[in-house]
Amino acid sequence: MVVLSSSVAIVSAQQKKNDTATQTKEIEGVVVTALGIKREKKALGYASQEIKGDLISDAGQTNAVSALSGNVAGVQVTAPSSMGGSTRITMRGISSVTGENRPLIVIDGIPLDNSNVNSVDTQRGAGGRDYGDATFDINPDDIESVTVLKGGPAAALYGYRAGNGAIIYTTKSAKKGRTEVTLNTGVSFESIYIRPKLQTQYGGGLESELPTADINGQTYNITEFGTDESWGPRYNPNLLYLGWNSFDPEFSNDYMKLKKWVAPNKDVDDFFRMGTTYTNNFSVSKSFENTNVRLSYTNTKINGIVPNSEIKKDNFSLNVSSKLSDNLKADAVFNYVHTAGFNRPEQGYGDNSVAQKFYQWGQRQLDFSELKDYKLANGMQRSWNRTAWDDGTPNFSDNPYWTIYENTSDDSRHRFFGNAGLTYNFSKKVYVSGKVYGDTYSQQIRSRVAVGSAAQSGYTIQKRNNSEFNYEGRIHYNDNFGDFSLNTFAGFNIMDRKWDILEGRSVGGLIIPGLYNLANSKEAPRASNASYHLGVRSVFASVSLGYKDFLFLEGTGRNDWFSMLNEDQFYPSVTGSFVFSKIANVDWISFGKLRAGWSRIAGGSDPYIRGTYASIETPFGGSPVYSMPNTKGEPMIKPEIKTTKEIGLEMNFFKNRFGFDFTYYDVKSTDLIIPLPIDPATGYGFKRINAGEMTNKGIEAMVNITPIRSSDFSWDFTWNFTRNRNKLVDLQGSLQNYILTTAPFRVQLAAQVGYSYGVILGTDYVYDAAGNKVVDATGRYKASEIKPLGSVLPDYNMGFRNSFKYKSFGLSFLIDVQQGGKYFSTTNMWGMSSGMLEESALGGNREAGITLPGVKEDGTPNDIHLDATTWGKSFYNTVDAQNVFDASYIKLRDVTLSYDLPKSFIGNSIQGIRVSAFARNLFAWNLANKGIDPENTSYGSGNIQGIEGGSLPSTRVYGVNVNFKF
Amino acid sequence: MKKIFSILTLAGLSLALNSCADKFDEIDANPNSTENPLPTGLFNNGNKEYMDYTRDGWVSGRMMLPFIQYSAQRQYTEEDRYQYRLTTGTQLWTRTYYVAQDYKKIIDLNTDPATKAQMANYGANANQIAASRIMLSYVFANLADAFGDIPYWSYGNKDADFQALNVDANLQPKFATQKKVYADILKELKEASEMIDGTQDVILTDGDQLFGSPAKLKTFANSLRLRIATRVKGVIPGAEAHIADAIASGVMTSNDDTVGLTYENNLVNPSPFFATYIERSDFAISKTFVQLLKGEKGNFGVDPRIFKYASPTSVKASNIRAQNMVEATDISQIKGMPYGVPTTLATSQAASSSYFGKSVLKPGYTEIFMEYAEVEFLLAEANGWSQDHYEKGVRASMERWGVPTTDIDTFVAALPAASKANVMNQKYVALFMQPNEAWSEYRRTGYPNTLLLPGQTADLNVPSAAGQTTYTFTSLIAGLTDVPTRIFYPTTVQTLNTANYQAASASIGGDQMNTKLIWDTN
Repeated sequence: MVVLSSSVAIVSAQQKKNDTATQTKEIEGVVVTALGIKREKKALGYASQEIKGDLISDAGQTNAVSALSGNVAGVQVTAPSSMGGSTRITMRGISSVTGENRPLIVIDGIPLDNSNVNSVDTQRGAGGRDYGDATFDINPDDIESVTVLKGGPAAALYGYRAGNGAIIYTTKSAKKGRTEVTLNTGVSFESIYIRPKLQTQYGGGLESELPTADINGQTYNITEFGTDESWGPRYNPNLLYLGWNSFDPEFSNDYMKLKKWVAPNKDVDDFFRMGTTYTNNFSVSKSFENTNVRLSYTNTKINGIVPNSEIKKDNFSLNVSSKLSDNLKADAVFNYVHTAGFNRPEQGYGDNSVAQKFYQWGQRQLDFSELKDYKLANGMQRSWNRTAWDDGTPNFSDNPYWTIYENTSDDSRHRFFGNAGLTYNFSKKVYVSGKVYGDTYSQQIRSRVAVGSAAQSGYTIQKRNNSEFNYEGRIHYNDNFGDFSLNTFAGFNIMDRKWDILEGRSVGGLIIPGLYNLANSKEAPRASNASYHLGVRSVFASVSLGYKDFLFLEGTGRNDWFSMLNEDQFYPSVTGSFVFSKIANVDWISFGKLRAGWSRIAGGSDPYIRGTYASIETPFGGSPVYSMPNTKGEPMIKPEIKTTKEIGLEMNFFKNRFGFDFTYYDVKSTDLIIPLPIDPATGYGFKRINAGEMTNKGIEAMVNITPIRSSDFSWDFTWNFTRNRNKLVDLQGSLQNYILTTAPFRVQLAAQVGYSYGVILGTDYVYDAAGNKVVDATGRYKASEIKPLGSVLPDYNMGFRNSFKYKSFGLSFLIDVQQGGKYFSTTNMWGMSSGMLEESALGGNREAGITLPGVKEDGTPNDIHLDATTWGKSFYNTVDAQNVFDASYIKLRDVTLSYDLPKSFIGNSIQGIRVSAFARNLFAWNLANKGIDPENTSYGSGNIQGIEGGSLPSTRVYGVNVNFKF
Repeated sequence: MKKIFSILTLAGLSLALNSCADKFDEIDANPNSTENPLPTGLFNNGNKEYMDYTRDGWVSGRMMLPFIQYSAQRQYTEEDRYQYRLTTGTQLWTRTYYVAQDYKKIIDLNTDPATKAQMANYGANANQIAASRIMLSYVFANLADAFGDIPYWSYGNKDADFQALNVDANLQPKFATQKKVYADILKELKEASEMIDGTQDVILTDGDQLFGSPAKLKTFANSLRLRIATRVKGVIPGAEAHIADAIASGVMTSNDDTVGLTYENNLVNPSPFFATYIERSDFAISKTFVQLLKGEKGNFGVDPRIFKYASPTSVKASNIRAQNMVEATDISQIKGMPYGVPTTLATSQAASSSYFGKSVLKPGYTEIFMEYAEVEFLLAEANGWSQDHYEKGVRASMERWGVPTTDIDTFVAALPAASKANVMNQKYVALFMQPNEAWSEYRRTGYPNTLLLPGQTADLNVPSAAGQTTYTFTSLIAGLTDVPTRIFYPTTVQTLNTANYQAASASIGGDQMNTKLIWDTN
C-alpha cells in the first residue's frame, strides 16, 4: 500500500497506538532522507516518496526492489524474468548513454554494490544465465521503510552515484522500551502462465513426406532426425514411423517399435513443474536500559519452474544502538547474506537455453515423457536431434533433460555489509558523527557442459571479490533564531572500491566424462585475472533555512575528486518549499505545499578508461599475441554533468480524504562519456569521448482518495502515474547513431539523435501511398532500408491500488500498467521460420499456402502465392518489423488478503497473529503478442534491454504468509 | 570556541583531502595491461587474426567458399544462394581494419623517436616497417576486391583522400576510389620491397610465422605485386610496368617460397575452418567442383587432387572431430553436395555428400596467403598463356597437396594445351581453399566456366521424398543472374559513416551485389 507520510497518521489512528515513530499531530511525518538524516517532510523541497516495509513483505515478495513496481510514481521496474534474476530499475528515464542509469541502492546508509555480473551476451539475448544482482540480498522481512528520493536535488548529497536518484532502505530496529519476538513463515507456488502457443498439427522435418531408411532389409518411415524445424508431414495416426528413441537396444520397449505420427501426449508445458518458495524468518528485538538490539534470521528456499533448479538464501542481521553516556551514542548494523543458486536456467539464444529448443528450433511431435530417458548406459546422450538413424551424435540440439541434469551451473555468494558509528552531542545545537560503511562480497560461479553434449564440453570457474568502504565524518548545527530555523551540516567522505576477478576455463573440451575440474581439460586450461580500483574523495555541506515553519530554503554543495577522471567536480543544489496551507487557513485544505528545486550532479565512470591498452591473448605458435584494443581511450575524459529542474505541488483535502502530489521535472545530461562506435576503418571500433546531450522531461503524479472511512471499514484508493519523454538531442558532430548492442540476429539497439534512447534499428515494411504493404517480386513483403522501429522505453507507467480494511481483515490489489515501448522477439522470428508457432500452421491448412495481403510493386493487388515454408522463413531476413512488438501491458500485479486474528482467539501469550494470502501476476491483458510477456524480455539490469532472445514462460505466484508476534 | 574548533577541523580536512588527490594517479594505473605492446606480438596477432576471420565459417564458409562453389552447405542453404548474413560483411570490414591497425602500430613504434630504438631489439626498424607495409597492402587489396571503394591508409603517400586508421583526426574517413587504392598499393609494394634490409637474418626475432628471412618477404612482396598488377592491368595506368618490374625483382620460384600460416595441431589454436566442425558440420564439398575434378565437366580428366580435396562419403562428422579420417581410393566414393538446393531438400542430399579431405580438415592446417603455383599461373598469363608456366603451376599445386609424383606426371602429360580457358580453369582448381582469390579471378576473367548459375537446372544426388530428381538453382538476391560481383557495404558503416558511404555508393555505381568493380571488365 502506498503510504503518503500524510496518511501515516490515518493508519496509526486505526492501529493500537503503539507506534511511537509516528507523529499524529503533525500532518507531515518524518522521512529518512539522504545520508540517513531524518527530516520533516514538509521541509523538503524535492520529490520523495515513502513506503512501509509491510507492503513488500505482505505481498510475499522475495525481491525488495522489484516490489516497488506500480507502487512508486516515477519508478520504472522490470521484474526478474527468471528465478533470482536481475531487476532493472530506472527513475526519470535514461540519462546516460553507456553509464549507470539505475538509482543508488542504500541500506542503512550503506551504498550497496549493485553490479550486474551477467555477460553482455546474456543481456542481449545471445544466451546465458542471469545471476541476479544485489537487490536479491535485501531481505524484505527486515525492511522498516523505503524512501525513494527521486532526482537530482534529493540525491545531491550522495554524490555521483545517486545521479539517478536513491532508494533508501531502513531496516527494523528495536523500539525503546519494548521486547518483541516475531516469527514469519510463508510458502508460495509458481506456475507457468504466458508462453508462446505452439502448433499441434504438423511434425518435425522439412518435407511433407517422411523420409525412409532401409534397415535390416526392411523399409521404414523415419523422421528427419538432423532437422530442428517443424515443416514436416501433417499428423496422421495411420502413418507409422521409427522415432529418435527407436534405435537403442537397451531401451527394449521402444527398440525398432513403430509409433504413430501424432501430436504428443506430454508436450512442452509438461516439462515445467510447479515452483515453490519457502520463507522462514525469526527476529528478536530487545530494549535494555540504554541499548536496543535486534537480531533477525531469514531462510529462503526457492525451487524454480524448471526442474532441477533452486536457490537457497540465508540472511542474518544484527542491529544495535546504544547510549554510552549522556552525549555519546553508538550504533551498528551488521548483515550477512549467503546465497547459493543451483542450475539457474539459461535463457536467450544459447546452447543450453531450453526455451530456444521449445519455441524456436525443434520438432513438434516429440513426447516429453519419452524425452525423460535422456541417457544411455554408457553415459552418452540420447538426443532427438540425431545426426542420422544410425548415428546418435547430437546434430545441433541436446535433449532438454540432458541440458538441465547434466549441463548444470552453481553460484554462491557470501556478502557482509554493515555500518558502525559514533554520534557525540556537544550541545543541544551541535553534534558530530563519524561512521564507517562497508559492503564486501565474494562470489563464485561454476558452469559445466558435459561430455556428450552437442556443444564442446567444458568447465568454467569464476571467482569475484568486491569491497567498498566509505568513511564519513559530519558535523551538524541546528538552531532557532526567532521565526527562523537553521539546520546545517558539513562533512567529508572517503570512498574506496576494489574488485577483482579470477577465472579458469577448460580448453578444447573435457576428457573424462563427469569429472569437473580444470585438470580434466583436453588442452592446458586457461586462467585469467583482472583487478580494478577506484576511489572518490568528497567534501559536502548543506544549509537549510526555515521561516515560521511554512517557508523553507535549502542549499547543498558537494565537491568530488575522482581517481578515474581528469577533473574534480563541484555540484550544488537549491530547493525551496512553501507550505501555503499554513497561511491560507482554508478549512478543507488540510495541507498544501509548493516546492521547487534545481541541482547538478556529476557522473563518474569505470576505471582505466583514459588509456588505450593492448589485449594480451593466448600465445600462438610459441610466440606472444598482442592485439590493439577495439576502443580508443581518451586521456582528457571529464565527468558527465546532469542538471535537474523540478517543481511540485502537494495538497491534501478534507482531513486527508483526498490528496495529490504532482511533480514536473526537466533533466539535461551533457558531456556524456560514450565509447562512441565509429567506422572500423579508423582502426578502432569505438572511441571514448565526452559528447552529446540527452534530455528527460516528465511528470510524476500520485492521487490518494479515501472514499470511505469509518471505524470498522475503510477504502483507500491510490493512483500513481509516470511519464517520461527521453530524447537524445545530440551525439557528436554529424554522428547520428550510437549502437548499444547488436541482437543475436538482425536488429541493433541504438541511441539515435532525435529519438528516444534505446531505439530498435531494423527493416520495416514498405507502404504505398494508400498505406498498403508492398510485396516484392518473390511474393514476400518488401523490406525497407534500416530505420528506427521504436524505442524500448515506455510512454507511461501507472498503478492503481485499492485497499480495503474491514475490522481485522485487509484486502489490497494493485493493477500495474505500462503503455508503449517496444521489444524485438527472436522467438517470433525463428518460431515462425521453423514452423514451431501456431500461426505458422496456417489454421491447419499449410498445404494451401498463403497470398500475403498487400500490393505488388506495380500497384496491383498481390496475387503471388507462397508456400507455407517460404512464408514462414520470410520472418527472418526480410522485414524485421514483423518481429517487433509493443511492450504495453496491464497486469494484476498483486492481490493480498490479510487477517489479524482476534485477541480473543489467540490469548495473551501471543501479541498478534497475522495471516495473509497473496497472488502475484495473476492476469495480464493488452499484450501485443499473447505468447510473450514484455517484462520477460530482460536478462539483466544494465542498459541492454528490449531484445528477447528466448525467454522462459512468465509465471503466476500465489501463496500464504503467517506472521506471529510474541 | 567550539565553533572555531569545528571550522578549523573542516579547514584541516579540506587541506588533507586536497593533498590526497595526488595519490589518485596511482589508483588509476591499469594493472591488467599495457599501452605499448611489442611488435612481435602485434605482427603475430595481425597475421593470425586476419586468417581467423577470413578463412572461417563465416567470411569463407558462408560467403566466399560457396560463391565460387568450392563448397555447398549441408543444411542452411540461404547463404549459398547469395543471401549471406549481413554481419559477415561487417566482420570482413571490421577485422581487416583492426588487423591493419596492428600493422600500423608496428610502423608507429618503429618510426616514433621515443620508441624506435627499443623496437630495434626485435628486428631492424626498416624490416619491421617493410613487413607491415606489405601486409597492409595485402589486407587492403583483399578488402577493395570485396567492396570496391574503401577508406585507405598509405605509409608513403599522404594523399588527402587516404583517411583511414587515423582515429584522432578522422572519425568518418572518406572512401578512396579503387583507382587510387590499387595504384598506391602497387607503389607501396615496390617501395617496401626495396626497403628490405637483406643483411639481416630475420625480420623479427619472434612472432613472425610467415617469412622468417628478409628474402622470403621480398619474394612475397613482388609476387603479391604481380597478382594485383595482373588484376588491374588495362585499368590502372602503370600496371603493366609493375608486372614486368615485379618479375624482374624476383617472384616465387618454388614451394619453399609459399607463404602460409600453420595453425597448431591442438584445440587451443586450431585452424579456423577445422574449428567449425567441432560442434557443427555445415560444409560439404560442392558437386559443381567435384564434377570438374572428376572430369565430368570441363576440359580435364580425373584430377588426382580430388583425393586430397574431398573425403569419401563414409567419413562422418565424428571422424573429423576424432581426427581419424581416411582418404578415398576410388572417385566413386566421393560425391559432391548439390550446390544451392532449396533448404527443404538439403537434409536429404547432405547425408550422402562428401566433406573436405583430411588434408584440409585438420587442426594444424596451413592457411595460404599466397603460393608458388599461383605465381606460375600469373607468369603463364603474362607470357601469352605459356605452356611451360602452366604445366609448372599445375605441378607445383599438386606437389604442395602431396599428390604422388607418378600421378602428377600422368596428369600433366594429359593436360589440354594452354589457353585462357584451360589456364584459368586450372588456376581455379589450384586456388582451392583460397576462395577470395578464386572469386576475384572469376570476376575478372569469367573462369572457371563450370559454375552453376542462377536459373540453371542441376541433378540431385538422391531423389527427394517427393520424388524430385532435379532442381533449379535460384538466387535469393533479386536481380542476380551471375555470381555476385561484390558484397554490400556493411550496415554498421551505413549508419556510422553515412555521408561518405553514400558518396562511395554513388562513385562505384550503386551499393549492390551486381555492381562491377573497375577491373571486372568481362
